[in-house]
Amino acid sequence: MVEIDEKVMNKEVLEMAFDRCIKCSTCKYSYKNFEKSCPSGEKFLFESYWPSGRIRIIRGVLNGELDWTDELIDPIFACTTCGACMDSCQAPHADYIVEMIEALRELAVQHIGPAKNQQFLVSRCEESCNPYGEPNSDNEDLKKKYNLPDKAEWVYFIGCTSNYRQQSLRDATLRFLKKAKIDFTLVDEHCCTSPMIRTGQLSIVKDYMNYNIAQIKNAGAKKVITSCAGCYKTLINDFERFGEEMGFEIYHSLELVKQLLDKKKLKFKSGYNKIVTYHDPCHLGRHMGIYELPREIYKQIPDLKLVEMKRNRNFSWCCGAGGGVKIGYPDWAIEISKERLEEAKETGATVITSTCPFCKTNLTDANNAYNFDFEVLDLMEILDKVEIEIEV
Amino acid sequence: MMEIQQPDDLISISLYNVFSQRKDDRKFIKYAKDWNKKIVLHIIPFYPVSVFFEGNRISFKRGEIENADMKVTIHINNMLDIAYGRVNPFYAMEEGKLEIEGLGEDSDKLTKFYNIFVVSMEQVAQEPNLNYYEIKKQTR
Amino acid sequence: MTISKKSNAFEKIGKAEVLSRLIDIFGSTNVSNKQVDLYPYSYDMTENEPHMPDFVVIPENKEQLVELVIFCNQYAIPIVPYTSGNNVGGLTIPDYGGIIVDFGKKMNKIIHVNDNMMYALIEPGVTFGQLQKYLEENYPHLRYSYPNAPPYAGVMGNALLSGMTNLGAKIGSMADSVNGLEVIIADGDIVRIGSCFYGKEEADLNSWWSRYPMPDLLGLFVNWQGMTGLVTKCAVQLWPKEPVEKPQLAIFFGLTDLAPFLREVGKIDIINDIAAFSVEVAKMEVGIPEPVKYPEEPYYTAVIPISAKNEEHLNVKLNLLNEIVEKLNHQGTNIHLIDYNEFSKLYDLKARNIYDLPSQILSLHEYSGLTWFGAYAPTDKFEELIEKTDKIYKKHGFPPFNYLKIMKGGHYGIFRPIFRFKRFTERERVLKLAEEIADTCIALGCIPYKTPSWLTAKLREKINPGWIRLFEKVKRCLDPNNIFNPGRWNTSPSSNKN
Repeated sequence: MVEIDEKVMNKEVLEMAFDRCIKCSTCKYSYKNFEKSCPSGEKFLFESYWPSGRIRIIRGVLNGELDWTDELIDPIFACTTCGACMDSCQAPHADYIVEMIEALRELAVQHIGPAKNQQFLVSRCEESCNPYGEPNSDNEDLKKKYNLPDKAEWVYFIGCTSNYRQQSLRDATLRFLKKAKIDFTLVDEHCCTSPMIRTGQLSIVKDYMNYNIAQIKNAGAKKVITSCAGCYKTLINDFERFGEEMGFEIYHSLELVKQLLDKKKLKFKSGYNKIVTYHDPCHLGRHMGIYELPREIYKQIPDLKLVEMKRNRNFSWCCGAGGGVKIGYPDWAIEISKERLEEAKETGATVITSTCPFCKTNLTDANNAYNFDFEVLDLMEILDKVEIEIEV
Repeated sequence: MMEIQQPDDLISISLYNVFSQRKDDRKFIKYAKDWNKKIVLHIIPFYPVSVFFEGNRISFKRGEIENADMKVTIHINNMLDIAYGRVNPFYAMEEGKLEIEGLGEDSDKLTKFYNIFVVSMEQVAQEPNLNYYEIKKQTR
Repeated sequence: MTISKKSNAFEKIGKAEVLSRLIDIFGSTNVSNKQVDLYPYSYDMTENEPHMPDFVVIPENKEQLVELVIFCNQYAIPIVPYTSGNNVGGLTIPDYGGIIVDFGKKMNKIIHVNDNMMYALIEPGVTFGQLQKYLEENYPHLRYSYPNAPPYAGVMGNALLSGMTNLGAKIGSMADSVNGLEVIIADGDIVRIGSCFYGKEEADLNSWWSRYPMPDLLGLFVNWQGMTGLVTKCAVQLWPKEPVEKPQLAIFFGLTDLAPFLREVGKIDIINDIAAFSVEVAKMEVGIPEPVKYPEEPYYTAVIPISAKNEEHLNVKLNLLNEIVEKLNHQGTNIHLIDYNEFSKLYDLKARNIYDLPSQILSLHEYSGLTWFGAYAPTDKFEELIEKTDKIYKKHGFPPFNYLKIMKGGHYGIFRPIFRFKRFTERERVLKLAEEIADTCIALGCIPYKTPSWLTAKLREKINPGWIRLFEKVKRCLDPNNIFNPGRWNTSPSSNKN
């Protein structure tokens, strides 16, 4: 057993890689249906691109049997960290596979750097607090527009993708929160740090976590709501992993919607007469176990016909954007989405919906690149199209 | 929620499996919590196991303790008949297929035993899935 | 740790040239010589020493493989076939380096199923999970026979290595269920073996229905561990799925009670299979990290799949089974039968994994290695095997994970002591255990299958010289330059020159 630098964030999971995987390959299939489930394995084929192969690589680099060369970059970083392997693997270390891969990336960044272009995730944040490199918005304009106070019970954590790439989703959520008369405000956000954690680039993570926590505290909030699955998972899981105490309750917007429906406070005054299929975002589904909540909402929207793709819930095929793949391997990212859209097409749906702005982004890019003609919409956007009444 | 000790002998593993599926069940908690009794369950041809109900905790020990509050003896095949609804447990008692010692005047013991042990086994037996992977994971 | 043994490869041709040629044959995205890509192929779950390959290729069709074989034969470059590397014998570890041929990724089609004559024609990369799913969706009245292995394990590899599966008591070794093969031999010739042998071009898909009655060349590729050619197609028998089933669980309170039960039950031809394992294995299957057997507990349990054409047929079988148990108990055993489905729901449904695919490979917890002494065994030695190995396990401080089966109507049995261990810290310790168990079992007549090289070295000392000579003649004839998985059965590159 080799010594691992104490400073490595995820030392314990790296140690797990030594004595926990026998390469039985169960991770390669979704275990129930034997469907394809690993985008990187299916694309690149060699054993090094499958989860068990990556665990082997951890052993190799720590044992000194594999040298840190650029050859390692693709096997290590060409993975969306979708977690399908965690769902398929039935061994006790199953729940840690993605953490192992992230820990491997942390090591890789120290030795050979991240995959091509992934370094911009950090450099752009250092310049403008978001990985898109857009001028930082402190959200004051939005606060004015929606007449929001400085302090409130809730903070709507917009997230970078919603704020800079999927503003219709952001605005739909804002309108919903206003309609529901939620006492909320906005804060000057830094990136939630999900892109950095997934790509092993941890230099700014703790500072950003502390910053965001301070912002939310200053707003006097006890609850945080977000419409981004990535931010949701990061705020709940990763902040804790990194030793940052949140002290707030974290909600995804769909949880609020469901609550209002359950209390019969949300009523639909019009319908949405379309055939809709739901794509489970990895960060909400496999990583956080939320599969039924969104479906229960869709089923209550009048006239909406919800149909399921063949691979759904924990067997869902990844959209292809996560784990740094969107920026590191952009062509492959939309190739992965193309497969998802082909699956959606088989259902007869005309709308593909999700509850993650990053899924929405990548599915839209594939929709356009490959000439599918889906409407790609978030749940909040669908709700925005329907007349609703919320009893306060 | 009932806390259930994780055992490592065959019969206790079974009991753990059966009780675990109801540890958050309000009805189960109503009967099991604070029962504070020691029950010996002897499933023939296996060995007796002592089951301890203390507060909200259930624990197990191989073997028959001396000062048990109740002792239940039943053959495995008769137990399966009861669990799967082929035989009524009270009929089994009458027929001598289910022996219970230590009931005395306390009808509460029998009620609790029935609701904790028998109903739990019946509920587990009713689960239609035989494939472990078919049982839904904890999702919401 | 991963330096390959010395071979002739790359003495006559440089690696750069080899790479170039491989890319010509397979395309650049299907070839790699990167250390990071080769590394996961260098070792498996067993105690066998790792060795790095020099290349890995992913073939798409047999024409590519013909070119590969001709090229490798010319330059004596080893070729090692690979599907998922799940064999518990180190058989895909390239002892002498060379080229790993990864069939699992692209040559994995189910080519044809003949419903009437009940066989499936498959490529080498087809896995159990894939075949099961395909049959359930398209031929639900037919079934294959499945091992207690992960769903990603290869069907063809299991068959050609005499694997045993859940129809074992009826049909025996899976090698007996092979109807035909298509093989590429060392000179690049494509050979079709079995009833498919008619026709100069491709065989009719409906012609793969029998291994016999021509001179049996199929045996030249069964249990040869890939040493005699590259198999590119295999026809495996399927079986009717009987509609009524009621698996039983037998429990054995005496250490050797299992032995007479296996013998009696095997002969009476009422069960599909019997998978008997020590109670420690039963506990491990449900996730007990360090299972022990307590004094009052049974020594062994056995899962007995029984199926029938109708309820009446099933009841007859169950009555016969109960009669056997009664008879043996009168003779002094302590055996009991329980309805397996009913019991496993109450016990823990994880224990039912060995009955249903996908199979959770033995719950290893903090273990990263699995190996065994898996052997075909004479059934009259079961008692001795159980008693002696029980002592050996205790001596070495390992839990006795034994697995037994009766095969093919009672003609022979399987005895398989299983060892799990931590690959990085316990390899030497498990090797000592494995050696002592191997010596004991071989002395009692057991013949290991999927045999790693350290074990075949032991066998060679015992086997009659005539067999060894014939084995080596066949190997030299079929593979004069020892390119096909050299090192298996201790056939080093130099040994072919004798």
